[in-house]
Amino acid sequence: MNPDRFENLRLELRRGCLVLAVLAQLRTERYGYVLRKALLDQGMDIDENTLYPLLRRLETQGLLVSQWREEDKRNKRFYRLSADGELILKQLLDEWNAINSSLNRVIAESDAVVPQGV
Amino acid sequence: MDLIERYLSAVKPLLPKAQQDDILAELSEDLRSQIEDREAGLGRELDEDEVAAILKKRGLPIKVASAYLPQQYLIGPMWFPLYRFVLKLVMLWVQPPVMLFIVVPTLYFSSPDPRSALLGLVSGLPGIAITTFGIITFIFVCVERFQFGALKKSLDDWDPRKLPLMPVTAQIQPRLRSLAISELISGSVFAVGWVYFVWFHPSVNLDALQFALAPVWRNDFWPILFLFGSGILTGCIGLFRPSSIRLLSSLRLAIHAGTLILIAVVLKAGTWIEITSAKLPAAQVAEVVRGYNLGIRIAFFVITIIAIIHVVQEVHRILKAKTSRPWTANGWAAL
Repeated sequence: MNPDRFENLRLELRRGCLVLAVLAQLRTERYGYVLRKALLDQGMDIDENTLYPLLRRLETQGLLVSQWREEDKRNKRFYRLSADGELILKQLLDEWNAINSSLNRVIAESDAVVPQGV
Repeated sequence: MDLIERYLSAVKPLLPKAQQDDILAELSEDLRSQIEDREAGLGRELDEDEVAAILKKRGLPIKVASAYLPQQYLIGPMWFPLYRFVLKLVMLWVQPPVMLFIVVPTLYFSSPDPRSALLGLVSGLPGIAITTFGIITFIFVCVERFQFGALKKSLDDWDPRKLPLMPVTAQIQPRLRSLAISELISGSVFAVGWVYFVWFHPSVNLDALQFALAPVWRNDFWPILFLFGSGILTGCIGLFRPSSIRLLSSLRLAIHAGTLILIAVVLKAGTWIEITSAKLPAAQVAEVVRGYNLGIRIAFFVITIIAIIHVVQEVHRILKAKTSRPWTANGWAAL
């Protein structure tokens, strides 16, 4: 199997999920480094070069708010979900659950059909 | 820490100006947090190699900066397929035939020094190709940049029923292809021959007789050349877009109609070949002239009959293509 092909499909599959994971994690205020570690602890590894630009994009879209604040004698940028972000996250989670249920049904159905055909 | 400063300095000029300081502060903070974390784990300060490894993992400064830049392209995914199609069409299917069948013969026959004119053309070909490429690319860059509303709308406003017909069936295809090839070859040969004989060598000496084309040919030079040139066009379309049945038939219909009109115009002249002789008596020469012109009149008559038959055939083809569905058995038969 071509590993590049799998990697491309994997990245494609993860892309939308990352937004959901980041938004969900930022219901609690966090700065970038801690956010990345929190995601990693939950099994969601996200590259820094993806995470930080994504945080900026989400902030530009009004889903996040950020604030520079001093912590441990260093300035850090803390992000948290905005009111709009809360709303969108809820809608996205509903969508995610619907997709997940549909996908499970599709997979269960095809799993049931394949053994009969074999 | 010197390495981090150097790294940040390398990233800075590549970032969008308005956000440079903000992004650098965050990047710097993230790198320092990573290093501190590692140091806390190891219970000592990181050496230069270990810091270098962290920076290497983060990526080249240009890679890091590019993630913050808006996605930009000269021609985006919406227009790129059309751009590629137009580029291919012009550079492979329009320019070469125009060069071969129009520019080269024109240069060859009209230039006082055809050899150097053709050499000049050949040496200029890369320049012509690059210019064409540049112009087409520029047009599409403008379309992408300004997203012309009307063009965008025309992409959405389309009718699937106007899609080209499916390729013709295997039994019919060879016949249509040979027709297209014969049109292409005959159109080219007649166009070149026409320019050569009518424009450059309108008279021929044969033994005691001097044959010259009557002025009517010179007067109608351009319309007749256009007619031969149209044969090249239909040949090309028939060869490369054989499914464009209606377009081909309409073009052929126009050519045959044009042929009939031109025959009517040329017939009015009454004399098409002029023959003179310094050696033969005038009465004998007049007899020869009458014989040749009678032959040409008969040829005109035959061509007229053939053109009328072709007109009827093409009208029939257009009507059938219009009423039939190509995905049904009758439709295939109509093609």
